[in-house]
Amino acid sequence: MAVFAFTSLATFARRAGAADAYYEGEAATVSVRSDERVQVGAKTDLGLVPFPDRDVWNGRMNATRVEATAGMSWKSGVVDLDQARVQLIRWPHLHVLGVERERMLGTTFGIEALALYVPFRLAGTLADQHWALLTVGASVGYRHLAESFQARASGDVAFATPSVEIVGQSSLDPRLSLRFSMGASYVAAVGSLDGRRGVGTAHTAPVTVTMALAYDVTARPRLRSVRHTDVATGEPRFVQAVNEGRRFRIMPVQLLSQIRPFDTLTTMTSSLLVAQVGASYEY
Amino acid sequence: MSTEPRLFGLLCAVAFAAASGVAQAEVPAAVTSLARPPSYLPMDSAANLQTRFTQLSSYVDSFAGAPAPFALRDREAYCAEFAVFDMLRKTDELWPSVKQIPRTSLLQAMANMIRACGYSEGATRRSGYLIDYLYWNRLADTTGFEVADVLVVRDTFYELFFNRRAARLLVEAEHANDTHPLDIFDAAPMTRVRPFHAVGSLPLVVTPAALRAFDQLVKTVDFREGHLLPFRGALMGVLRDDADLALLFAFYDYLLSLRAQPQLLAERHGGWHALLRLSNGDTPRVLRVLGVLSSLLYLPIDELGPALAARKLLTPERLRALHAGGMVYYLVNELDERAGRVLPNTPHEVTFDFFYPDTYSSTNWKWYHYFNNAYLGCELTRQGYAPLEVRAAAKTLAGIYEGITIHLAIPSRKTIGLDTRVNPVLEAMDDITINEDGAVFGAEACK
Repeated sequence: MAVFAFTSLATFARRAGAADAYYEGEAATVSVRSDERVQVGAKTDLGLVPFPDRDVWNGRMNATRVEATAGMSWKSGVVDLDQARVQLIRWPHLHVLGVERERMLGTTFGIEALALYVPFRLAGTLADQHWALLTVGASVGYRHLAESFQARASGDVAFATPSVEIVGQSSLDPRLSLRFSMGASYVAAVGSLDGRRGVGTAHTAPVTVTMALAYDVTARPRLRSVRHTDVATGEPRFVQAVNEGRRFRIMPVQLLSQIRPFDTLTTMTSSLLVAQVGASYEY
Repeated sequence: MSTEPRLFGLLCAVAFAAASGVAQAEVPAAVTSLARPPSYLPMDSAANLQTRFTQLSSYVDSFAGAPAPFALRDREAYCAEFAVFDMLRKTDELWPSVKQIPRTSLLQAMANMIRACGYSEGATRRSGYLIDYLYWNRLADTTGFEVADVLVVRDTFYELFFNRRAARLLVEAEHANDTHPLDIFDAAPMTRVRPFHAVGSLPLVVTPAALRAFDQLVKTVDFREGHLLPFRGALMGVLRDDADLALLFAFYDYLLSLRAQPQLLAERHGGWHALLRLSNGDTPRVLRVLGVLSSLLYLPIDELGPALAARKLLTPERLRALHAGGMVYYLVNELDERAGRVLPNTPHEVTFDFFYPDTYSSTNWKWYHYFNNAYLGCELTRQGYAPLEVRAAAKTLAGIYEGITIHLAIPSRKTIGLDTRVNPVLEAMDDITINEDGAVFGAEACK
């Protein structure tokens, strides 16, 4: 039911939140950014890791995330790997052991050791056309920062990133859905920075809003009517259920806006707009 | 659809069996004055179990139709014993092959395989579980039938399992001597529950009383090492209480009579009203019987049954209680589905109210969560805990439980090919809500 375009925006924007893991499958995107970069990205979710207790579940966890985004500056024409991630477990509520690269945080190489997020329902039940979740949590790990990769100072730091985010989706019709997120995270980094003596600190707080339209182009319908005979009247009633299988979707419009009220971590612009198109094959 | 007449035939047959049942059936009085349901043949002796087995196996035989080739490649694996833990462990290996069977002939294929397996405990329970798996994931209707009708088939398969299991317990009891393997009576308290106490104190707006309520709640649930069955002490309390057993047996007979007279399901909250009638208004007793023995599927007969048999404590009444208690879980679910309504404010899902108190209804089918927690809420209240403490304790335990089980929901949804991430979270939230609602009702009912 989910769409990568939206998640890729969220991924792109926050780097440490939970929303990008709400959707599972494959996707590809092309983005244009107001800081004069274009990007091409792709991601996949794999079932590689065996469930730790085979007495309970004798199968693999569909938890492993692999993703990468290549970017090019309009001015210089230089192409670089802007973002990449390989993470053993990346579920909405739990991230375990990932290596990452992230230009948005000046990180050429990093390790997300652990992240825990608690989701709270704001709206929606199983059969609703709309849902919204509030997610609160934090991520911890290590980053190698490089001035050549838009960090304000090179160095090696430990980081902690508490974040809060609202994620939601509204089905406008059986094929068209609107997805949105609003989130804020605070990145605190502590470690050796640019040869300064002692312990250096840096921090930033990306505040991000995303919106995306997703159009389901799969031939078979996503929803089916389920007959339920009313026992009092004998009349047929119909409820809805979701069919099995993943869905092809195109994302004709995706927009992201990010501001950073302060930023001593990177040389990124304090405000950023992104327009994106993409396609996905997800649940 | 060509299979519908056959299913209809099975439904009629099962309903007939329930109504006329078996040996001791009485003609019910006017349906509107069903103060006491007719009594049916009790499943408490080898002879009675055999009589019912003959009926059930002939229904399955007629539903399956002419013998057909075994629908799965590994016949032995399908017929083999299906243990409690297999319910989760086997999903990933079962589903890909089951998926190859055309969905609209799946139920008949299962009946055919059960027959080919000689109505083995493994084949019947495995088939019941696979239908459960469809049902839990809102796919039961893809078999081509209405959900409540699919559950009738499931419950027939499960009753066959209960029947064979009960017959085997009788034999075990007959041959019991002083030695027996370690069982649930020997099992120590589960050490994995200890972190619950530490974690549980966090979301509890930490008042000392709320923390004590949570500890008491976990103690009442009473998980034991190596066993899935909770409520060991409370279960034995029900099995030792003649009035509890009388209510259970009357309620089970009532459920069978409902199957035969589905028009009774049109009464809003009719099942709850019947429970109050049958218990003479003793709500705590209703919550104990429904929230403990009848909420645990086949776990009591599977884990408590052999322990009682080995100690020569399996009286005919207790055997009947383990059989009826387990089947009540399935029958309530089946009848709830049939009685459910589609309401204007929730037009995309079925709302259930038949077995709930007059003030409550839910779109969540998991009635056992409600009554489990109503029982717990009642017990904590009787021990002096305030409603807010009870609510906080129940919500915390539900949150921890859902937080743990979501790790299974995500891969199992992947296996079946449905959304793996958002829906498990939403379902967990729904489940926490119904747990909390149950505890609040139990606290209110027993203050």
